[in-house]
Amino acid sequence: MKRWGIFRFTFGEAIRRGTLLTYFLLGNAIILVLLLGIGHVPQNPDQLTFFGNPILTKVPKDFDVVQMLLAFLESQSSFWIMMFGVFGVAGFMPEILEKGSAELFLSKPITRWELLLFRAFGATAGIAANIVYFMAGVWAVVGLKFGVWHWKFLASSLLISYSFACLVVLLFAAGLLMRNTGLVTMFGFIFYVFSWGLESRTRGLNLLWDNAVYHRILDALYYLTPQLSAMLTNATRFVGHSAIANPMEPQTMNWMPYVYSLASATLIYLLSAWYFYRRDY
Amino acid sequence: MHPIEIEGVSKTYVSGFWRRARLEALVDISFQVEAGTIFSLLGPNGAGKTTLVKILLSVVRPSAGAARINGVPCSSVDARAKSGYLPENHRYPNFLNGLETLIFFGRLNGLPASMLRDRANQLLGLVGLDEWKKMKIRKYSKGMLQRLGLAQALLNEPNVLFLDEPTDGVDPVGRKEIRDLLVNLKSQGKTIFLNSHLLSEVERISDRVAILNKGRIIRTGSIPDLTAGALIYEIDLEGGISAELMDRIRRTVETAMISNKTLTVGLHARSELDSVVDLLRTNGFSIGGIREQKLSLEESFMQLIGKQP
Repeated sequence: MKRWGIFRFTFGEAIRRGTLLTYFLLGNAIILVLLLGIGHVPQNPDQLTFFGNPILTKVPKDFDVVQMLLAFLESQSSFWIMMFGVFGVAGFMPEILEKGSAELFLSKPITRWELLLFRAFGATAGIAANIVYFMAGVWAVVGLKFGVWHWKFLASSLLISYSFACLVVLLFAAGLLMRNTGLVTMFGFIFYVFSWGLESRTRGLNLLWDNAVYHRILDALYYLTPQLSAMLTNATRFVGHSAIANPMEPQTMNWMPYVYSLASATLIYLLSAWYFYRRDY
Repeated sequence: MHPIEIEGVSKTYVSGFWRRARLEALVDISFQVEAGTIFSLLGPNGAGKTTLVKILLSVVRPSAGAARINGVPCSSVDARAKSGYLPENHRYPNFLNGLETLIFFGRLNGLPASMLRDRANQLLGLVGLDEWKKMKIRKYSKGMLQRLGLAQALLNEPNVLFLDEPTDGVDPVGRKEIRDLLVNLKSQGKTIFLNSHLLSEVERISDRVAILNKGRIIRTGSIPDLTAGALIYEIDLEGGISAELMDRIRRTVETAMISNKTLTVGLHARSELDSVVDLLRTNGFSIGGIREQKLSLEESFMQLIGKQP
């Protein structure tokens, strides 16, 4: 009951936030625009149109044009979902730790690890509901328009939600340490950008300084933090290869970033719970 | 077993980059609170009152010592299951309305779903918020929030209630209602631990008081104990008193003065009052009445705090 209370409260808070309401309205607008605007030339099923204008004419060999469209939509969606998500949940821990609020929550017969865990679950569920709703809407529009019911696109909403869950653990840890919504939001964005840099470190960050210790530090950061960028890239691969998102990357799906991220998120959660337990408020 | 037991509790806050700055917020605090009483903790700002309550509710960890609520160590979740808390300057999630707030905190208290709504409605009625229960709490006034806070603290039918400035921001009528409610809760056997700056209110309803200053308990006792310490008596006489008799009385007591047929004497000990009465009676005075001149709690509090280095 207590855990359910925290989960339900946080879920409600997540879906009522202005940021996520904006995202929800934007999502609905995109679904509506797709419903009204997307189509294909009757004589040529490989030629998609948007309000009558041809799009996606240069389809790579062996790629289905609808699958390409879905992969494109998935990669764009996951980017914006993360952006809105960071804005939406960055304040979740700092706000309950404010003076006058912390006393109310911490004086209740619930342990701090439960409060942290079920608040993270609630925040993730709130964002996941938005993600699944939007992706299901796009999936239904594409299915109705082209008769292609691409279940992997729908399932990718779970991969994006999972990736976001790992990010939430990190944002909550930052929230416990910083206790400031603005700083946590900045941290979230910086981490998001940094995770792209870490994923492609062999072609970027490693070249900045030819030093073994520096390279080891980057490797450690990559494995000790959720591999956000790698998870999102793989979600796009899962839908229909990432030829549009990143043609230089291998096109095969790799599940390991999800496994490593689960391990790092678990470690970060345990450290956060220990820190939370030790702190006075 | 007492509902609240505190043994040698100390709290030192450490701060700074090298963690060398130390602030002793509480030093070796020990006392118990009897069941079914109202106990008030008084002290100037920064005395450590809120820190002590936070330790009892496990919001802050003590540096030394131990405290128990209903016989259970205060760090245990079980200790909080039957205690209620109204913090000072409490902040509620402002996207909820009054009813939703109580339902949410009821869930956190582990109340069964079947009774949540009824209990929340009953308490909203008790604190006079029935009319505004569907209004978002961001629109509530300070007094309304205070009433909501009190309802929140009572959700789990606690047998120990911690209230930090419960009448802060409440109008005089509301204050009386809250005082009456606390007295009623006491009559139901609940133990109430009150932190308040409003000494006149504390004086009206408290059974025992502890005065805390600079992290140390400087006095505990009942209200009569704290306010009767001065040993000053007023004696109504039915005639004038001679200068010679006044001299004899002054030699018997610490201070003596006469004004409008009322003799005011300050005593070293209670037994001196008998000597003064004997002197007056043997000199043929008829005594109309004797009153003990009491200090108010505020005067007593100011004297005690003023004596502290």
